Amino acid sequence: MAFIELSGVCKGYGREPRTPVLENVDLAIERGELVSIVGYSGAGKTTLVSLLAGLTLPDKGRVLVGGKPVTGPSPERGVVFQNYSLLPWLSVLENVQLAVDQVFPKLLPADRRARAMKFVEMVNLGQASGKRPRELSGGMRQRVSVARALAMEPEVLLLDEPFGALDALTRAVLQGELQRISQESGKTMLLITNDVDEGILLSDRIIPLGAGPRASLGPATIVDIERPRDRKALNHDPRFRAIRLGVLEYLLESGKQKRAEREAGAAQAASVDPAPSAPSEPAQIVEVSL
Amino acid sequence: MNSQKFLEIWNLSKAFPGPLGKVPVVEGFNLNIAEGEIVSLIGHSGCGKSTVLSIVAGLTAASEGTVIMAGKEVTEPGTDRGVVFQAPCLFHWMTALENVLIGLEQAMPKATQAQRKEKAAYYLSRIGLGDALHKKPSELSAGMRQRVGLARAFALSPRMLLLDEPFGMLDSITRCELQDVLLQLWREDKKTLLLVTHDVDESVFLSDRVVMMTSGPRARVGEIMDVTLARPRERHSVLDDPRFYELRERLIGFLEGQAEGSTTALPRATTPPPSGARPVSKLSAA
Repeated sequence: MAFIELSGVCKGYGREPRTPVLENVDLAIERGELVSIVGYSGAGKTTLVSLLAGLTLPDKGRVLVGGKPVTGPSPERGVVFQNYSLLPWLSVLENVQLAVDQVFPKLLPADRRARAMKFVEMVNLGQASGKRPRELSGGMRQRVSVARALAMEPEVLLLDEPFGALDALTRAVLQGELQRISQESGKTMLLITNDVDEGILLSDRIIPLGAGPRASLGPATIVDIERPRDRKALNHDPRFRAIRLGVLEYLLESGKQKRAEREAGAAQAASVDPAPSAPSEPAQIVEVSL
Repeated sequence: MNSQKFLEIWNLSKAFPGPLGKVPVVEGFNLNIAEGEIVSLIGHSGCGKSTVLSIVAGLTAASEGTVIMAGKEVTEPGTDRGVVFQAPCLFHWMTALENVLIGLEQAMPKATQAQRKEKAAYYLSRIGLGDALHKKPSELSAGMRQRVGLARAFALSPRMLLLDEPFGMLDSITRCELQDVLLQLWREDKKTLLLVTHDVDESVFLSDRVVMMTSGPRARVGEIMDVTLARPRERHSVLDDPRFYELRERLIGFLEGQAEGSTTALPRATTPPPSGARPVSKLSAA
């Protein structure tokens, strides 16, 4: 049995009839694997992370981590969000230590501090450990967030568009660091992204999440490219190009299909009810804020 | 007028006031664009790409130099140049159709409302929003909102369109869709397009020429790369074409070189920390 297992998971939001976001999502991730899920914004990627993190529960289906159903958040599953979520009045070290204090209350204070510092150094922020978040650039803030998640020694690290808010250069640097950390730690990781290149660069397997509503996962592709992977070398690698093309086309095609369905639905609605679509329902567009 | 010189940018410079005197953002920028050409400006954040575009739009005055479009000097904004920004700037209380119509009322003052409505609906259905004419921006996804922005710009029938990171706020897949929409609109109207972007793939996929800007201050044209991929461009064949990856690499190489050369970049590290705290580089361990 896989370490992380989702089977037949459905999740919607709102009052009945609920707006369906995810439908029949099946996913199995082995221990130590790094899997990325690539999809449109609004397709339900964050919903998927929230289900695994235990921040929300499925309407139907099962979410298992380590064989146990997920019923709520736990330090065994660390989450890194796009918006960092740091406490502004605490320093870099204190932000990380806060998590360590919660998860390892039995350690001596000096040990907790040492552990926090170890992870601050792991993300190359040793010299900035006394700074407050507002004194840091976006890339550095995201490093703190990664350090905080890792310092809890979670079984799984869930990364929800961790580099989405960063400029291209900073993103490339942090992708390199994540690649190193993942190799050094051997942690099970799930990376959510809308960047196909990022997904291929970092993961063992890449899976497209089709367009919403009623999004479900597409076929997984094994990224059979040796590590460490170099962005420039990848550019020349026919395996990289083939995976890139396959995933992108799957996604664009699923977007096209959903649009056609929506237009057909609107045309049908118009033929039934000739009145101009007055206060039209926003239900068709599912926008999950990322 | 020479059709090869539809737009001429002569020795353009722009300085903004700073605490230590004037800061020259762009200096000695020269570029000619032919009619119907798609040219993108690429460079790092803050290099002055948007400044150049804004001067061509007539929204910003140049400190030195001249912009000539179709034989006339550009001194102010005009309906002959449409601008699309990163945010589509829609009126939130108006429907998609009304948002396109409001520009047409300015651009087609002599037409009847019915004619204008027809034109607005035509452009909206061409970009795949035929089913959403009466929706308000809040009911549309970010990608759909930017589609409305594109429809509005094209419906005004300007001679040239200036696009400032038009898809910068969208996820990379929606971005691909909108690039296809843009090319589809261009195929029929053959407008001259000047596009500012920092997305390497986007600039190669869309353009006839990619203008690479050096990092500021005193940014200027670094290199110009011709993109000879055949048109109409289909994503599948472009992404399958080894030339695409060569062009892509050349651009990435230029941008990386600019990043290393710039005074603010730290060796292989992220954006500069505020007070000289240099992250210890552990990258070599990887």
